[in-house]
Amino acid sequence: MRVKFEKKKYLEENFLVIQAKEKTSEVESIIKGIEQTKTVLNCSYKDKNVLIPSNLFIRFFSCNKKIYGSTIDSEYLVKYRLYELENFLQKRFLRISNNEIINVDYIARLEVTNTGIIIIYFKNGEQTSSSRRYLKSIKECLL
Amino acid sequence: MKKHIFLQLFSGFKTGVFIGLMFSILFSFVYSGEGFYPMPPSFIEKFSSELTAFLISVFLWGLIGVIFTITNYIFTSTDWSITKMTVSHAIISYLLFLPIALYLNWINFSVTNIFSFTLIYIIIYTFFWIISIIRVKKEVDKINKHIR
Repeated sequence: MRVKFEKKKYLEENFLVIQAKEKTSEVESIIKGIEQTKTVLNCSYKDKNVLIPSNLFIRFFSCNKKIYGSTIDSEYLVKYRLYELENFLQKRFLRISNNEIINVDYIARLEVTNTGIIIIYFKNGEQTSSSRRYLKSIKECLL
Repeated sequence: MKKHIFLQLFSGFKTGVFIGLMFSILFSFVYSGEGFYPMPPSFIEKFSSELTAFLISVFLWGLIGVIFTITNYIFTSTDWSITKMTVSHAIISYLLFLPIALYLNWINFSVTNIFSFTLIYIIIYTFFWIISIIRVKKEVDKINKHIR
């Protein structure tokens, strides 16, 4: 399969065209994947609406019933619930506790405390904690 | 979701009855070798007929299964540390299990009996805690090596 990218400045919204001889199951799964994957997220930053590519996010967490997403240098208010993010984000995003989803590509290392909590250190120096029951999915995603 | 939980509890009940039955056969071999004695004589004495005693006994085996199905949610549905999970599981199970074990005359009511039961209980949970911590540390080491 060949992939070609064409820049069209006049488009109001990104529009993907897929050309194929026939709608095979492979093509269908690609279409489904594109439709389900949100690559850009609606966020707000200092009361302004912005669109941020999802792969820039290190983690999403809930705090006072609001959902925040942090990137290497800033923190945004995200306009989705955690379970929505969990559904439409790429497979690199994993739930690691009741109130947090992380991007495994930004994990620097893990550590177990003496009481058996898992501390996750990110490449930008941030850290968070998770429990044993999420370790399996982290492992499956990384190895 | 509600139906799902009910099915899980029912399955816990069945497992409890099954394990109870297996143990009663095992203990019948140990103590008699010939007859089937599913419960201690001191327990049967509490009832007017052996059949009633057996019925209550089977129900309580099932109840123990249900108790452990419920306390298992501590491990599958909380974000707690391993220590907090293990300790709370131990305490809740102990408080619910001990009265039933006493009532069934598995443990005869005396300070030494309850003390030795408690001691064994603590040893088992400590062992379980150590294994859990070691397993998690191993998994984390594996992941860390892979990231590097």
